[in-house]
Amino acid sequence: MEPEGVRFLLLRASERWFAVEVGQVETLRRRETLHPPPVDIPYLVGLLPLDGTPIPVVDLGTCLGLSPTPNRRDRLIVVSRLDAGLLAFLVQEVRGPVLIPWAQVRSLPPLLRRAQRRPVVWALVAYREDWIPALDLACVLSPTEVETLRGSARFTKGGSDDDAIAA
Amino acid sequence: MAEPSQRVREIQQELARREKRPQGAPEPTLDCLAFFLGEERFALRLQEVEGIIRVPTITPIPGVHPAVLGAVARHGEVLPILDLRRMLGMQEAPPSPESRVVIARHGEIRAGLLVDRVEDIVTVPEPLLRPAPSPGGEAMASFLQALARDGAAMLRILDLAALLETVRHGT
Repeated sequence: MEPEGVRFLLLRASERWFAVEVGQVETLRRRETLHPPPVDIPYLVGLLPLDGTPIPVVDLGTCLGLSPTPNRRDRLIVVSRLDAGLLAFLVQEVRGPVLIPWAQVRSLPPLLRRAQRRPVVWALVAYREDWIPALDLACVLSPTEVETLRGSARFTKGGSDDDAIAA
Repeated sequence: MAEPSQRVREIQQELARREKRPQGAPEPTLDCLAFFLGEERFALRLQEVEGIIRVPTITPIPGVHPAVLGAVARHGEVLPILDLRRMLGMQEAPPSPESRVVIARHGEIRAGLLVDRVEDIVTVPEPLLRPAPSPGGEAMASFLQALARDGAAMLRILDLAALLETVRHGT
């Protein structure tokens, strides 16, 4: 974090823009071939081989209860390091990083913080003419959901790579 | 002998109330902000109203109560905007040029309520207030604090605390 503000990446998912603090993003990947999902979970779109380790890729839009993100060949993936390990999010577009001054970052009032099942949206961020919800990627899925995903990915790693089909 | 009509009974009750009141004693009243959702007339206690604004650009917030349209940043804080039609189980309607957001506050919680049209401040004699029907039938019954008959029109006074609590718990 910088004294004059907060550095955010802007992500577009389900045609909406969201802001994510840059420290939550490990790396961005484009046009990666995914392994098919090992289990049938609606928001799981596949596995991303990253340094030899399969990372679950989830559709950010579907996780947020929005419409699914098109899973095209030029797919864009944001890899985030959570407490439980790496988790990747399928998004449509990424901009930034942009430095948002403190005065343009407004925390959510208690009514909206408590109204969420998990505190996924924690602030609104002013960017150009719009206010954009700031997401905490660590809260998009519950710890149990993340563990389930990572468990299924580990299971895949134990199997033969020949079984994996490029998405 | 035929029973007096409901309206006549109400007038009789009002007469009896007036006759009981000592001459010159001021009648207790409740000041409310009245507004419309469709043709239905609702009100909030004036002490719970902080202002009225035009409908701003609203930022949607995923994963919250369906009646939360989103939030707006205003005067250094983020204000949740609630669709009262959705809260009260009424048919949805897009905002019109007459639509407004009523900024309401209960304790430390502040929210904007989208309404179809603001009417005016109305003063309701407290003895005219009737308890709201018990919840169970209409969805809106849980959010009514009292009813008042103002001439021929019914005024439904909303329970702001119940509205905000429902949103807070996401139910």
